[in-house]
Amino acid sequence: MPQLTQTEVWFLDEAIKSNRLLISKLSAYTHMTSDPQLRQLCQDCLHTHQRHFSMLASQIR
Amino acid sequence: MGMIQPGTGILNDRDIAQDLLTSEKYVTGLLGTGTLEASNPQVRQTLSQVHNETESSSRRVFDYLNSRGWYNPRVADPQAVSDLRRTVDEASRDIHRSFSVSGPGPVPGYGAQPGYGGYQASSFAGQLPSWAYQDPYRREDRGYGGYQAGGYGGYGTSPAGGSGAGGSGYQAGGYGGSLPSWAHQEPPRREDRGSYQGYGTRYS
Repeated sequence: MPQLTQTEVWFLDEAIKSNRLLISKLSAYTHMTSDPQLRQLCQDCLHTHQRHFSMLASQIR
Repeated sequence: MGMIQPGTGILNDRDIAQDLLTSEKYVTGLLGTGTLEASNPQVRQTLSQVHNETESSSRRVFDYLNSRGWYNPRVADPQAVSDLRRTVDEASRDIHRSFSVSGPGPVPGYGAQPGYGGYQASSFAGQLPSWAYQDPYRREDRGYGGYQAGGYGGYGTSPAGGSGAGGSGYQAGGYGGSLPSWAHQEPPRREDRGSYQGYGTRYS
């Protein structure tokens, strides 16, 4: 794995934590919303952020 | 009085969508800056892709809120627009005067309109490489290498004058000698800056 700069590590760390929090929130929101359209939007965003989490995490493995 | 009592603060659809938009906007900004700061090509590519997709998600959430009438950007006050137009006119005139911009002159009602291709200051003409005349905001033309090799390349290495590090477009020709003293100082080292730690709200 190529050496990362401190800046890269900081941004990756922040982005990974943010995506993790969004995944938690979106999982809850999917069950809380009464609007089917918003539920679909939350589900789509949830899948997107799960994928992003994996992509970002792979940069430090 | 007016406070939400514990246990009663149930989020409705509007709260959910607004919180989602706030979060998406934060992450979009974070990733955009991260993309610019990354020097590792693979990290940069990943951050850039994640940024673009997060931006699309933000737009979808915005459109949802907007369609419900929950996010209505206000039309600007005509006076504010007029003031801004005057500011642009003044700035355009200053730029035109300071840099002796060649090419199209002032456009009636819209200042000098130098355009980014119009920065053909007389002392520069014929000395800059072709990319220097391109629109710097075209993402596909930016090339992160250009950040290093272009105007910023000689930033910390050439203490005076314009003849320092080769390839430094902004220090070429007569322009280098007219820079203020602060322009020749070395910028703070990355590890000394520390400001990145304060970027936004930490989610940890």
